[in-house]
Formats: sequence, structure tokens, C-alpha cells
Amino acid sequence: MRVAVIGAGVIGLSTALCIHEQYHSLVPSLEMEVYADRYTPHTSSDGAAGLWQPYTSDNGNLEETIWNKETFDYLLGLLSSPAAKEMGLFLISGYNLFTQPVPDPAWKNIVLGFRNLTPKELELFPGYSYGWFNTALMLEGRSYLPWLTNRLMQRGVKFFHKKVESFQEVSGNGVDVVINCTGIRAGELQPDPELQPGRGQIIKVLAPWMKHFILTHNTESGIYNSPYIIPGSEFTVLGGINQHGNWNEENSAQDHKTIWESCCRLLPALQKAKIVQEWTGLRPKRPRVRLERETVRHGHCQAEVIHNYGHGGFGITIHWGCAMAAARLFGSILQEKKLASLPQPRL
Amino acid sequence: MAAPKVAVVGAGVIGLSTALCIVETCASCSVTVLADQFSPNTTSDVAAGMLIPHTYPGTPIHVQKQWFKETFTDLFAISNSAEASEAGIHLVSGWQIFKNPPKEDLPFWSDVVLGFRPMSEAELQKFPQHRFGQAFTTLKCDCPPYLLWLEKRLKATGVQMCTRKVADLWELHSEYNVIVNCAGIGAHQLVGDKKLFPVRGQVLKVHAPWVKNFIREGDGSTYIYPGIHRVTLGGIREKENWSLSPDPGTTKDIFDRCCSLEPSLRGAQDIEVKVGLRPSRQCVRLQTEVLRQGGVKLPVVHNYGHGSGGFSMHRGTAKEAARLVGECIAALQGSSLRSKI
Repeated sequence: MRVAVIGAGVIGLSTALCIHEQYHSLVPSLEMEVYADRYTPHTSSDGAAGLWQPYTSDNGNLEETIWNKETFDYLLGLLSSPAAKEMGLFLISGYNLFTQPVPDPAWKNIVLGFRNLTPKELELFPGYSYGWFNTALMLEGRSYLPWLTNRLMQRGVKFFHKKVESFQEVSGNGVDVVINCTGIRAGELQPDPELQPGRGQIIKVLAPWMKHFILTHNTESGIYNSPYIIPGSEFTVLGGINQHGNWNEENSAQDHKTIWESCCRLLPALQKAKIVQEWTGLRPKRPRVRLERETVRHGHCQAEVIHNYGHGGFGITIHWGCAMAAARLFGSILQEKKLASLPQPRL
Repeated sequence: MAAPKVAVVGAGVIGLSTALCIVETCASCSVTVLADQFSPNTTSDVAAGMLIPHTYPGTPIHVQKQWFKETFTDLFAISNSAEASEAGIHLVSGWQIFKNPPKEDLPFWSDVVLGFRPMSEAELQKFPQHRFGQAFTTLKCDCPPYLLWLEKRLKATGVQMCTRKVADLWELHSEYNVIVNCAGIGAHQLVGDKKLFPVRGQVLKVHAPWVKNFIREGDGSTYIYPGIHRVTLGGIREKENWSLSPDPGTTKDIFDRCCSLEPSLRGAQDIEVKVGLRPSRQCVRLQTEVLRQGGVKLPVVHNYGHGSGGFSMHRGTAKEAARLVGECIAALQGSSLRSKI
């Protein structure tokens, strides 16, 4: 049984690992390959700050809320393990700021110690009159992706530096199941008008005195289009750009100015922070995550495809829940092919 | 009387902040800081600089609360300004955890720090050996940055800093009108205060930049305090131990205790061990004493004996000391007027 995973961001690598962990002992013939034209540190996941936090409103998407919770609980369970540091996993507390009262988010009981901000705390943030405080997790892509890659390589998964141009390219080559984790470029394999870029730009600075994340929200400009400051283990990420439909992966001087000025206004101490790097990435936005099976036929060839893309600005937040859901879809494929080894009755 | 000359003895957090308060309240004063040690070699440099008060048995609680509140308010304003990173002052959130029910649900400072509340069940799961906890946000003053920033502000106002070991306060009587004694543990010898005793502390300063929250054992025995560049791991309290040498057994013990609270610290790098002597006393000695020899008077304002609470109380006690200095100067000017009649 040959499985090809297309895409090596957080979704591709974690889905590969989840499937391999669950099914390798059941399917001794399982051979897994990863195909991608971009590997860490050049994926969207590498540029993301890595903060676990879903959007402030879930649009009634209960399934996604469950996947978010599964991811948080999974990571929380790994916090005390020796792997945590290598994974780039750690706890972080911080602030979400609003200009008016808002309903509590669907994830308030998933994170730790969720509460409203006190008036004294709000004094720190002139212009904001309401907010939340909670403790969440950071999972830094620059550490997590290499960690996932190492786990996969240890398991004998093969990696290919190659841009896959069509499903047929892999299915025609004897691959039984294709896992489509192509993120923003999924449309190149199969048109999907619902998948649109949410272009983001960030400035990475040295600000080691920052111990809290600060996310501001502006209902008019929309999610991530308002300044945010997220301290990592080495650098602090300044952001606040989310441009729908913009495919440009080049850094923009205008956006740099917007980010820098708005973040320094939010936190005057940042004026002294040293700028280290600038980066642009395209959030793979979709009204809902595409997580489903599809049988793709081409001539006599047929392959089962599991789509797992369209995670917008919450890929890291939702990744493990989606990986497990994809693994369940893989299990149902195995059932159908009756390849899961069941004890046979002895005659 | 010409511009009153004030000498502040001691250049730790108490000496420097007191000097600054004097300059702020007495425009005509000429202030000099005299110390045998400056940052990074003071006791303050060893401390983590966390604003979590130590309770002095000999001082009324409302006074301690006032001192803490003044300190917190002043530092909060700096942490919110463009100077925050240079001053080394930053907010940090975390948890104080207890194996047994805490003596008090609400310590006197709980409404001064930010967001103080009991920890939730989910938060306590991170600490399986502990059953109670308090979560809050407070401030941390990293040293050397904070002391260097104070020194810079002092120099900008014309204050002189002199390296000088003062053996006896009286030796200053011909050069200065008022002495402010911020000698910390040095006051034991300098003024022979037998009520002042060292409580030896040892800490590990490690590189573990992924640790963003503080964790503190409720009795203060074990703590993890993330600073700008290093995380301070502690601690130990050894009464009447004057040794400034790091003890390897203690180092291992502190490291193990901290790793049991925060396992990821096993991956910490670059462990630096430091020792400091907390200048401990039943209560902070914050009072005026007039030394007399022959017909000569030398007013001394004492401001020492802050034990584990130096950073938490420094601005409050500095302001009170500056007020006492103002009284001494007024008294001197009054008597010098009278002597002219």
C-alpha cells in the first residue's frame, strides 16, 4: 500500500505522521512518501508565529472547534515531555483587545485561565476598552516541522523535492492513496474557487523583554488586519495584515509601515526593538476546511484522495485534530480495501 | 546654608532609587552616591527583581501595602513607556502554587498586582503535586539593566557616583550635611546593627527563552522567574550564612526542584550560579538618627534591611527616606538661621 502525501507544511507532515503512527503496524506493507516543492524553512507554516488561537468567532463551525480542542489537548499533554523543547512547544499568556464588549469565544474553556481584563490592565492599552486574558500554547513552525520530519524519517518515510502537477502523476505511478495537503496552492491540482489567499506580512524583531502575546481586534478591518505582537523563543513577531485575494508574496513597504507604526503605538517599548527579518505568507483561506475523501479517476487509474487544506490563519491551531480526522478517513479506505490485518479464523 | 550636600551610601536598588527620589524632591540638594560596589556586583544584581512582596513581621501591613503600591505604580508606568526595555522593566504572568492550603486566600498585595485570582482546575493540572494556586501578573526589574538605567538618570541630573568604601559614617561629616545609609547587608558592619542578619541565597541564571511564565512555590522556596535574557531559578534561604561562594550541592538541588515544576528546564543552557546575602531584619530600618561627636551633629537617614523584599518595596521606602532627608535639611537650615541671629 503506497501513500503519497503532497505538501510539507504543518498539515502535510502532521497528517503523514498521524497516519503512519496509527496504521503502520496494521498494514505492514505501508509505504509512505512526501512530495513538496517547498520544505521547512520555506513553507507558510515556518513564517507563522505559531500561537494556538482560533478566530474569535467560529461561524457555527462546531467540527472545527472540536479539531482545535483536540489539537490543544494533544499539545498540552506533550508539554512536560522531553520532546517539548525540540518541538518548539511552550506555554504563553497574553491579551486579546477589543474596542467594545464582545461575546466570549468558543475556545474559552479550551485555553487555560480565560478571563476578562480588569480596568487596570486596560490602562496598558489606550484605545481598547474590553479584552481577554488567557494562557495558550506556542508551537513554532521552525522547530516543529524539523521535529515532524525527523520522526517521519525515523519511520522510513521517504521525502522528494518535487512539485506535483496533478493527482494522476502520483496515482498513475502505483500510489493507492494521495493525501492532499497543498495549502494555498491546492487550486493548481484541482480548481477550488473557495480557496483564496489571505496575504499576511510580518516583521520579526528582537524584543526579549516581551513575555505576553497581544492581539488587537477590529471588527471593521477583520481578523489579523489589526496589530498583533507575538513573542517567540527567539524573536517577536509583529503583524496585522490580512489582505483577501492578494497573491503577492513580496514584502510591501507600505505594509511594513502599517505594522511598525501600529505595533509601536500599541507598545511604545517596541521602538527600541531591533528589526531582524521581514516575511510575507499567504493564509490558505476557505469558508470551511476541506477535509474529505474523493475518488479521482484518470483512464484506468483510480486513486483515493484525502483532501486536507484550507486552514486559513489557524493551521497550527487545528492541525492535529485535522490529522486525526484524515487518519480516520484513511482507516475507512483501508476497511474498504480490507487491508487492515484482522486475525483470521484457523481451520 | 549653601546647597545641602547629601551622601547616599550604597549603590544597590535601594541606594540608587533613594538618591533619585532625593533629587526629585530636593531641587537644591547636591547628591553623591558612595559605594564600594556598583552594578553588576551588588546584591541587587543577584536578585530576580520580581515584584512579589515579602512580609516584614515588624512593620504594619498598611505601611507595607503603601510601599508596594507606590513601587508597583511607578514601575508600571515605566513598563508602559518607550524606556521599558532600557530600564529592564517588564510585565510577567504566572502562578504561585501550594501543596497545602495557603495561609491566606488574599495576600495584602493581591489587589495591587494585576488579575489576581485562584488558579483553575485545568491550570493546576500542570502541577500534579500541588492542589492550590494563585495566578496573577506582576512586574520584573531585570538587573543590571535597571540599576544601570537608574545610574544613567542620576548622572543626567548631576549626581556623582564614587567608588569608595566607607568604614564609618562619621568619616563623612566634614564633606556632607546629611548621610543616607542604604548599605544593605553592609550596615551590619558599618553601623553595627546586630538586628540585621544575612539570609544567604543562591540562584541559577539560565538560558531558557521559551519559559514565558513565572512559577513560584507558595513558601518561596522554589521559583522560576523569566527575565529579559535569562531565567532565574531559585532558591535557598540560609540564615546567618555569610558565604558568597556557590555551593554545588545547592546548585543541583535548585535545578532539580525547578525541573520538577517545569520539566522543559532540563534543556536549559549556560547555567550561571550566583550568591547574594539578603539583608534581613524584622522590619526595614527607615528612620533618622542624629550622630553627635563633640559639638558636631550629623543627621543620618537609614534605609536598609529589606531582606527578600528590596525590589518590591524600593520606591515606597525611597520616597519615605527622601521625605526624612527633607526634614533633616529643613532642621539644619532652621538651626543655621537661628545660629546667625
